[in-house]
Amino acid sequence: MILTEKQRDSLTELINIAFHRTTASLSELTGNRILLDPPKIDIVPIEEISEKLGEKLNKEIATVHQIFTGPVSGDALLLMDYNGAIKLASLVSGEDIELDYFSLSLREVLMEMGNILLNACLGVFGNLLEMHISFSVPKLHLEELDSLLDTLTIVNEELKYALIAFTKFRVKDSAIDGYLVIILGVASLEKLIEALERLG
Amino acid sequence: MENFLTGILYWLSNFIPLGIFITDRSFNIVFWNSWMEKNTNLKGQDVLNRNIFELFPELNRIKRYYEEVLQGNSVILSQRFHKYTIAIKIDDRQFSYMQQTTQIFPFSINNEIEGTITVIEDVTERVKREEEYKKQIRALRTLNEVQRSILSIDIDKCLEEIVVGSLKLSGANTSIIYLKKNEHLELVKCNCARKEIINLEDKTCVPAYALMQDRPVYISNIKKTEFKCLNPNAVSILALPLGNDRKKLGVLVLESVKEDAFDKDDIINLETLALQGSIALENANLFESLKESEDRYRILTEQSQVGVFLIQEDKIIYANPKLLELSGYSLEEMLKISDFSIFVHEEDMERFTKNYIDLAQGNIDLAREEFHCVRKNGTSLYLEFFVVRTIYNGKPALLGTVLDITDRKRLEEELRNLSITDPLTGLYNRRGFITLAEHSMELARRAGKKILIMFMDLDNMKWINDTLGHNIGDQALQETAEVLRGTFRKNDLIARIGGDEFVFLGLCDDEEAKDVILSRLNKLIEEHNKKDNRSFYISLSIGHIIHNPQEPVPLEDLLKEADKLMYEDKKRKKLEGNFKIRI
Repeated sequence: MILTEKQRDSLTELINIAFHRTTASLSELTGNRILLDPPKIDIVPIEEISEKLGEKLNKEIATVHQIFTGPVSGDALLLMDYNGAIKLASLVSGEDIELDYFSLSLREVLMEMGNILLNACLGVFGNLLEMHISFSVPKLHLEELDSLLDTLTIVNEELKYALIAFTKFRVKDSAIDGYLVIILGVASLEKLIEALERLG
Repeated sequence: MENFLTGILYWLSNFIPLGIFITDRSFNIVFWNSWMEKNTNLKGQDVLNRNIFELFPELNRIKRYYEEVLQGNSVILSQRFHKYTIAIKIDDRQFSYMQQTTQIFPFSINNEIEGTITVIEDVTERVKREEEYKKQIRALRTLNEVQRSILSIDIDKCLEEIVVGSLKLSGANTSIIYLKKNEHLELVKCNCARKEIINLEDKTCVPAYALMQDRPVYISNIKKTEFKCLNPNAVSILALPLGNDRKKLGVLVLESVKEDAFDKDDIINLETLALQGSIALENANLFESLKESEDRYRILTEQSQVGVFLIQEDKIIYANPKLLELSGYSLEEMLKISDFSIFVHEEDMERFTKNYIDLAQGNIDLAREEFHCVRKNGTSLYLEFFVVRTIYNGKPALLGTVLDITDRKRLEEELRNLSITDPLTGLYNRRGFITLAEHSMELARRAGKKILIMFMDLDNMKWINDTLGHNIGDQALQETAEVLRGTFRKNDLIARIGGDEFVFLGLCDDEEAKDVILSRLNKLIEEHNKKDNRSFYISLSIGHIIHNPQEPVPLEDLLKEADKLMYEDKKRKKLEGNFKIRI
């Protein structure tokens, strides 16, 4: 257990605020009512991430990936099942037919949605830690979960932790599972926990 | 270093097929590349130091994004939601403005944000291609639905399907079916409340004219012609005759309030629909007439575009000319046949036999099935059968209709192709691989051969993508696919099953075959890497196993095993420092 119950509650609340902001932006952007379930939060050492994510994700996944830099740096990811991602992008962009492949337009839709969500969540951390964070342009990866995790764990200069927030996107009677994952070095994690303590 | 940067800047300014402009923190333009010049007709010297929100008022709707960028955010604006960033008028039937996907990110120097960079991609053609593909799928689905209802015996339902289908296919406002009654065309079905009777001789009326000409007639703006229309709001009118060479049944008419509302593809799809509709109507008429005299029934079946047969006591006692044409047998031959399995392809035999027995014994009263069939000359075709139990001359009989669905099957096959192959490399994708691998393994088992499975991973894909960009990354994947195609035999399975993962499955006799293949692969990779002007080397980490299908193991397990060996290979290469990737 890395977080105390109280710290976890504060963190959940903070991410939930970011989610509210995101749903408002996404609903306005897409013209569809989009809701995000309150997040279920966990912080795990990066070695355990595969097991954690494997619970709800199949092998083929779609990932929106942004690198953030500044006093705190790391990777921010939105992970979804490949098919779930197609479904979400199709629903929000009002596709009238179901496709079983990811057209470039739908990929961009997912990237923009991921961008908004990740920016909102990282914005919350930036405020909390009172520091300025810059984000790279989002990239979309379509690959298997394992190979994605490999690329994240390969450069192992310091001990890394993953903050995982599980949620469901709700659009038009459908619920699509998604994971928000923020990967931080141990120093950044300590700063984060300290800041959470101050909040409590 | 300086030369290198100058080179890049020169390329960004003049050659990159993207619009790029850079602003300072006050959003005044400091860089404007030639793509922007060409597409906005604004020269660099005229826009430098001008404020982008004043120069392009349309940017005000995304001003908040620009403000976020100054805070360190990077944003992507997809075409789907924003259509475009800078309004550039284009000469296109579908879009008035160039469709764009845009990235905006901070312009940083020494970790200080000095301004913003905007990169605009013209995605108009791509969006049109995607729309085109979706339209084809939509049309195919609609045509399929209509075809399914073709064997319906209810005329009214048939007419309804044609009207609904034609509206879906064309986006027209009104769809009307007129049927020929004596010397008139009478409106029998429409998606609105109208009652009309048209004189068949009236040449100024589009439906009557189309029937006279016996071809589709398209008027893109009726106001500019001599034709008249009973609907004063209609501007574009398309009339498609229903019926066949021998008999004209009526006309399907689509009206739109827009000028030139139907394009070439719409018309082709609607013609197909009209053809299917004609068959459906004829078929429905046929069943109606069953209630009437047998003579009339016989005349109609003789003319039908649908194959019709009657079976009693395991003998065909009637077959119409269309059925003879489809099967390739003469009537004499047909009447002698007592083993119907000669019509059916081996792969569907079991299903066919079960259906026939169920019908013949009265376990079921009707059946509707598709079968892979064989003509007398051995060529194959796909037929849809609709068979009902009936009474003929006081004894039980089976009355059936047969429809040729070979074309539909072919289209479906094409669509399937889309999803078992990987569009980037043309190799099979994961789904295609799994589907076909089972088949190959069965083949190997029967032939008493072994199976070689190789799991290959393109080394340093991440480096290529990150350093050289995704376009080069895609190129690396395509080149790898090309090398693999050159290495393996035509009957081997090669697939790209993940981002940079390839897998090979082929039949082989022994361990030696594996060595031959490996050395051939290495040789081809080496040759490929020797080619001029390369920015990266291709290098594969490979895990291979030889499997004896006589001792079955699930395919997934075999792949996992090969995958594991591949990782070991990759690890070994890294340890040995044997990673040859960049030039």
